[in-house]
Amino acid sequence: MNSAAQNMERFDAYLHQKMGAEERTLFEQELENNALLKTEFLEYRQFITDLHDGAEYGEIRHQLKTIHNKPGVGGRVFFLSPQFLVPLSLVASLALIITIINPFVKQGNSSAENSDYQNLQHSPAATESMDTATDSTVAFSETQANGKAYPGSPEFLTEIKTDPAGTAFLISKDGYFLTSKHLVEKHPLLTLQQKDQHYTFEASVVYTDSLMDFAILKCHEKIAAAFKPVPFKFLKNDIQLGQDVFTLGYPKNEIVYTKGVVSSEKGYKSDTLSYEVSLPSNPGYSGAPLFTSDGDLVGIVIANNTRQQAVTYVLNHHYIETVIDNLAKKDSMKIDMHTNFSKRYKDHSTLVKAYRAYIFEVHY
Amino acid sequence: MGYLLNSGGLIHLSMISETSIDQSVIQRVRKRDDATLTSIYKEVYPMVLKHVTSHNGSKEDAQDVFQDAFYLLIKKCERPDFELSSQLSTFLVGISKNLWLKKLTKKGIDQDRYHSEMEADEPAEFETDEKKLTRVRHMNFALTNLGEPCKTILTQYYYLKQTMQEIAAMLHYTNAENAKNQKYKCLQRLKKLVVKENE
Repeated sequence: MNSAAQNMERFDAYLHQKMGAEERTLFEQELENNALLKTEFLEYRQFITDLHDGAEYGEIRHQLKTIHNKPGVGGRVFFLSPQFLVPLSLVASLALIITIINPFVKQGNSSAENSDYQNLQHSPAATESMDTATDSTVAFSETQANGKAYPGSPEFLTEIKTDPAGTAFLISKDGYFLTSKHLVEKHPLLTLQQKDQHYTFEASVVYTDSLMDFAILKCHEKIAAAFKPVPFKFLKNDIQLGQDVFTLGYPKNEIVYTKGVVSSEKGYKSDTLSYEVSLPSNPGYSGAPLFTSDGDLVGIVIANNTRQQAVTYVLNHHYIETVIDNLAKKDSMKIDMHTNFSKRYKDHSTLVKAYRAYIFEVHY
Repeated sequence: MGYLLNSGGLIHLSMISETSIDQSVIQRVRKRDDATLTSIYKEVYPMVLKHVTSHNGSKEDAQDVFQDAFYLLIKKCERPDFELSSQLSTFLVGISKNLWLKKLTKKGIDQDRYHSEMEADEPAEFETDEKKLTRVRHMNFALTNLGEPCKTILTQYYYLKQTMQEIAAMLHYTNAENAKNQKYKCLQRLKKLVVKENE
């Protein structure tokens, strides 16, 4: 190690307060006596301050960009977005509860009108433009009460037949999906579809990573009620060179299975947060999950190399797991994966059959 | 779900427009509370969009200028002695307008017009802010172009104050010493990029 590197290490120790009291005093004395070292130190400190501020600027701009893309902020207005529906459904269920209580009120006060229920639905709390959303939620609760099958409810949309933009997959039965960031960056509200299950519904972007190409989507709780526990978990260990992997995605409007093998432990330009898989991939594969042949989740397909054939880059599962853990720690988003399970299947095709139900088409 | 249930943190728009600014708004901006930032964004952005698009700018220009102004507001709120002399919205629109004027000037509008149209109470303060903004923008640009794993190593260490051991574990380095060497190389590369950017 050269002297510049050694100096830098000492500066870092000093600035990060990793020096003991005695070492600190000695270092400060040395700075006073050595003008050259002092200049070097001051320059270094300025650069580190700039680095800190530059990173912070990036973080703030990222937050503002996310805010800009929220429904109804940067110009576009989506009143039917799931984000609005959650608080609205609370209003709606309140309306229902009050209706149930109402008959008693009526018994005590027979002069009350019969149209109370209607009035409560259109409570002043709900603004005019949100009324449609409130109505549909109430209507939905009624259908459910009548015992009709869930997928017939108004929250599910009609099937989309066009080619999907990409792939997303369920990670928690509470309705959280993972996909890649470039797919959803300009679209705060997306439509997800799983044709085998006859699911077509809206989901909104709840998190985009500032560093890597992945995003988290969430659908409405009522939709999520239809989901079963997710049959896969993150692989605990690192991926191994030469390991057999496969992916399920939507390069066309049908699900496609592709097999490959881990060809390098590092990604594009030796990026350590992603790795390379020898697997042919087409556009639509963005956001698709990658599994080991045993069925453990090992990452998200993010890109391929246009110059080399069959080179696909996959975002490392450890990084995704770390981000999900951090989100839970900061209390900003708790993605509950404790119901996720993994089991041994009698053969590979049974495994694939079980998994495909959790892979969704992404439409704009 | 976190932010959906955050409605307690939502501030009503009238709070921003009131002349006597609630000190707690400044505190929430300082903490970058998402709900607070969202309601301010929602109220003020349309004004900036209107101004920029009617002065030779695009939607993207408006977004860029407004978010830079917002950044400056957040940084100002971090100062313990910061007090708003006007409404929060007026303040944000003011900085945005000045930033846009500055950009137009750089594109070739004459200096006289620039000084006569400047809306700052303290032009000197705006000039300092603008210089600082250019500096952080350049650094951020350089950091972004640095690529991985350098960006992660440097931001984790110098911004998020993670230890080298934690970073080594996160990036799967065999030991912290390797990560340290890598960090040194990254820093040298970043310096070069910043110098290039400032030229």
